[in-house]
Amino acid sequence: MILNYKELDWQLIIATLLLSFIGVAMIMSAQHFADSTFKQTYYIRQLIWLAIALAVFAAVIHFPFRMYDIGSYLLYGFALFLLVLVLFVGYSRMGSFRWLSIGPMNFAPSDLAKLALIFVLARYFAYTKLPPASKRRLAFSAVIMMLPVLLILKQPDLGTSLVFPVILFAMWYWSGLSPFYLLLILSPLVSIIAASHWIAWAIYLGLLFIFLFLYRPGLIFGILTFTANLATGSIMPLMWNRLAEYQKLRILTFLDPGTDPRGAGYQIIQSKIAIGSGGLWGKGFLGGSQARLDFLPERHTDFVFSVLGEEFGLWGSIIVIGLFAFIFIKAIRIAGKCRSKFTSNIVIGATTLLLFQFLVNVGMTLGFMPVTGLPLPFLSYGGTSLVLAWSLIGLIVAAGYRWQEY
Amino acid sequence: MKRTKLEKIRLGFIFVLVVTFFLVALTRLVHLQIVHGARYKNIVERQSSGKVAIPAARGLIYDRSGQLLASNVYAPSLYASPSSKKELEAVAGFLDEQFGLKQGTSTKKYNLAVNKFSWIKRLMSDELSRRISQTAPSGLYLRNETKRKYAFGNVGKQILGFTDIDNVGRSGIEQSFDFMLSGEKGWADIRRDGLRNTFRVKEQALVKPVPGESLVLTIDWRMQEIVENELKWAVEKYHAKSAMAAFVKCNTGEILAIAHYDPGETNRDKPFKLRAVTDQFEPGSSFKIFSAAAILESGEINIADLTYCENGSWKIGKRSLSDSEEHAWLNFRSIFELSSNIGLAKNAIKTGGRGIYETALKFGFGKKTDVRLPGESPGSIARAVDWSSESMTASLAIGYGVAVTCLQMAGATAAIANGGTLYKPTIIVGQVDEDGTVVGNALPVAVSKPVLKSTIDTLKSFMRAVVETGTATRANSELINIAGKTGTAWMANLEKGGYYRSKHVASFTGFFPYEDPLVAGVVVLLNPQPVYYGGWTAGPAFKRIVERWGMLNPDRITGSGKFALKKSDKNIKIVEIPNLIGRDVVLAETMAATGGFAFRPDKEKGVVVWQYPPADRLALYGDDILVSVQHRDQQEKVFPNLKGLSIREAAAILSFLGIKYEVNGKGKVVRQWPLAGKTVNRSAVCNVHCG
Repeated sequence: MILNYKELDWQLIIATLLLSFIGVAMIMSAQHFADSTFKQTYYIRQLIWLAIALAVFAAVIHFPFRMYDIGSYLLYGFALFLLVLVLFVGYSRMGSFRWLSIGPMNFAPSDLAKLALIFVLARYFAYTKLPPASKRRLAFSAVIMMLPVLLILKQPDLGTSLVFPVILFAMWYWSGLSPFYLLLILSPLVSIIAASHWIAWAIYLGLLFIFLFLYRPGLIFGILTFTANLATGSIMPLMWNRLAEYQKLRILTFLDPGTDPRGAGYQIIQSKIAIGSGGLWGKGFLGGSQARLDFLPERHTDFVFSVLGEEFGLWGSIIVIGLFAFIFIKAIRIAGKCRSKFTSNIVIGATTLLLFQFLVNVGMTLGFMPVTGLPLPFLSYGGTSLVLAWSLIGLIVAAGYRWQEY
Repeated sequence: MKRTKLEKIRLGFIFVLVVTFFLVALTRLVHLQIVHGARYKNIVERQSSGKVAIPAARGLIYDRSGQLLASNVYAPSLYASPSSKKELEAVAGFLDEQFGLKQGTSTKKYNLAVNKFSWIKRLMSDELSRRISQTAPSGLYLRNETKRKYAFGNVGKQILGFTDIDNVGRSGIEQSFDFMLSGEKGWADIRRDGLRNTFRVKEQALVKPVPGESLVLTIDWRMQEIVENELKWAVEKYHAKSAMAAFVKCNTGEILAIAHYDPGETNRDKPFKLRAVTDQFEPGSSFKIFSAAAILESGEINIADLTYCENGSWKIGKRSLSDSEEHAWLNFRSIFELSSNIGLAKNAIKTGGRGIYETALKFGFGKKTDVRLPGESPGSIARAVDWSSESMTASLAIGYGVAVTCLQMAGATAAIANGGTLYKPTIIVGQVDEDGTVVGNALPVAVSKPVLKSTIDTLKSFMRAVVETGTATRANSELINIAGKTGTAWMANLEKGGYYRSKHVASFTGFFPYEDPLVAGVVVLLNPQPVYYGGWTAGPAFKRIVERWGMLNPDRITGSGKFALKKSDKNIKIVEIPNLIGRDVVLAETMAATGGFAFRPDKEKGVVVWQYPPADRLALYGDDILVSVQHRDQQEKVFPNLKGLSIREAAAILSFLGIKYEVNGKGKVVRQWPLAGKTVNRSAVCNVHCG
């Protein structure tokens, strides 16, 4: 397919490119003083991956959208197959089977599953005739979402699995499910928190019951919601006990990093120290002592934003966050102007995926969100993550180019 | 497809979400980076950098001839710092086994814990550290620390004192000059690593340590060794409880030797007191030197005038004075020479107690000398409210109610010996700068001129008479003329007050050589038994010290003429002195014994390198032969004093010691290099200059 390149959204592409190069620079800085050449050359591998990602991006924008439409279920099936495969032949790191080795590369099938989920949901919500609040529609989409999630939880990889319900939720939202239902669907989450004290939980359940009784979302939906609330609240303590020790610690230390400053809270504290010490102007490129002296863990992956905050200070951080905001607002605009529902859904799905990772990652490094292990799109070291992010941008740019198509 | 209004609101909501997050993140960034930026910068500084003290090398201590007395050696110390539970267990198991402890006890004993630093054993022997370093598990580490090394073991340790495990001086010179010796710690900037708490020392230290200053003591180490040996000899010979002594250079006040010996003393390597400075005693008749000085100075008596000495017993007020021998009429010289309490008291009463009191003050009694040795006692002089009290005056004159330290006594006697100037006693010659030259060489500080020269001259002749014909004939040396005064006092009962009538303090205070005084000093024996007179106990000890000092300074020996004099006496058997030089000490002793001589070596093993009197001279049967002995097979030799010897004698000594030498000139040795007492390497060539 031949494109009129002048019509492409170059602002969006350049903003993303800028982020990617800032990422390469930060990865270089993060491991510049590392004790092995392997670590010191992470940034070179990231550059190679960036080239691959750009190639994928070019392929994505040239690919006709109709093909995504047609191939979405195939892709979904393939992703599920790989997720099963990874449980048997996957290569493990730190106790979870997340990667498939293809030649010299490690490939995470969950990244493909994210893309597949976006396609499948976009397609389903674009063509289904069922009303947004229809039980079948809700149930089917939930099942579509749950299949990969269950497989990913089996790996186990809690952080990645969080992304899937968020995509579904955004799709529901975008395809017209009223906020009333969305709130009801979210209500079990409130129940988890309320259940920490029995009086609070009782008052909450009472209020929920009155709410359901007054607004009547339908008997089955009402009962399901209430039961879900009851269930999550009551099994919450049980669930808590079933969580792995590190997961408990992550939650606890999110609530109060001081509980374990040498262990789980360490990362958050050191990240805040790194960013805080950057001040207004930062310590300059390669000047971050937190990174250099190994105080910052995972500094080329999950905590790459901390390196940025330390070395480029407030202005550097604002530029990066601003670039992200720019990209997201551009993407939302594109979602708004797309005439094809499928295309628009895809843009929302892609934007949600990027936005969620961005929010959670930056929130984590700034210490107001828990440590989840989600990388920062475009900046964090990681090949498939970069390729995925660029393919998502590719989808958004392609959608923007073809906004008039039905 | 046109967007519905609802859809626009939905989009707007996402837009708001993005903007809100942007603002929240921005607020948070401002909060972290601007509001608390300085705080976090501090934290970074604190957690990633630190300072590590670099110990400064402690200053060395030399004696006056440049002999190294105290130096530093490195010794490894073992500490534990396990970084995990596993390491902790390995360390504990290893220590249990290594030190033969019951299983599991070392954790408690050494306070072991994860990420905690604890010393296990400091300043270990090389052998032990080598054994441990080969098998120690990780979590146990060695660190080099410095330890003080004293070249002469416990000799002079009372002066030098000791340092604790952290190399801080705890007594003696090490304590009082710690501020100079310790130097200034340096500080190294270090970087701390976030993963393993390892340290990365920056290229250069921020502040280099300033090494401590090296000190040169006024002590003559050879003499110090002699004094200590002879005190031990005296304590054993006279069954004394303990002994102490101090010797100063007459015309400067420099302390040459100062020591005590107490057989009951434990921990000789860590002495807390230098009793010759910290302990006071009642000098008894030795103090008569200074009361006599006051009496002579008053000019109110004529030394030829006779005083009635009451035949040895005299009541004065409530007190009764007695003499050890009964005398009737004595002139002042004889009163001094024979140490008549009654005679001196009567003369003191004639001239008044105030004069004696004030003269004693001028001689430095009753106050600290400020010698900069820890714990100095000021001593005391009983001060009468009314000096018209005859009994008070009498008491003071014969040295009761007076408490002095050996150092005060030696210093005051030096003032007599040098013709009337009291110098402040000193222990430090100066510091050694980087080039090895002695700096800060303080001139002797004259404190006072207590009495006139004419008084001094009279007094000196009195003191010589004491030794020649008076109470201290046993202190009369045939090598070097000694002048002095004996003292025998009741020992003060410190618990109940008053005096023990059966315990005595025997002392001999004097100076030598009489003709040209170089050294003044005092030897004090506490409670010698059964003979307790100063002239019979402390006197001979003093003489032995002087004679051995003479071995070091052969050109000062003046007494040889006396041999000739005595040889003419027909009742006395005259023998020829054998040549002992070069003989093994055991053989030499046999040779001396065959000739009927008392053999007096300064060491018990080795080869004789010097003797006095020299071979081929005639001597009395039963006379002493002093010999100096050195080890033959030592790698490093202490250079012998060759001054005054013939070339042949000097060559013999040097070849026996295996020291190569060059001789310039003819006749007797006048100069040598290195100087006597210096340590020379076996391969060093020594230059002997004769003239």
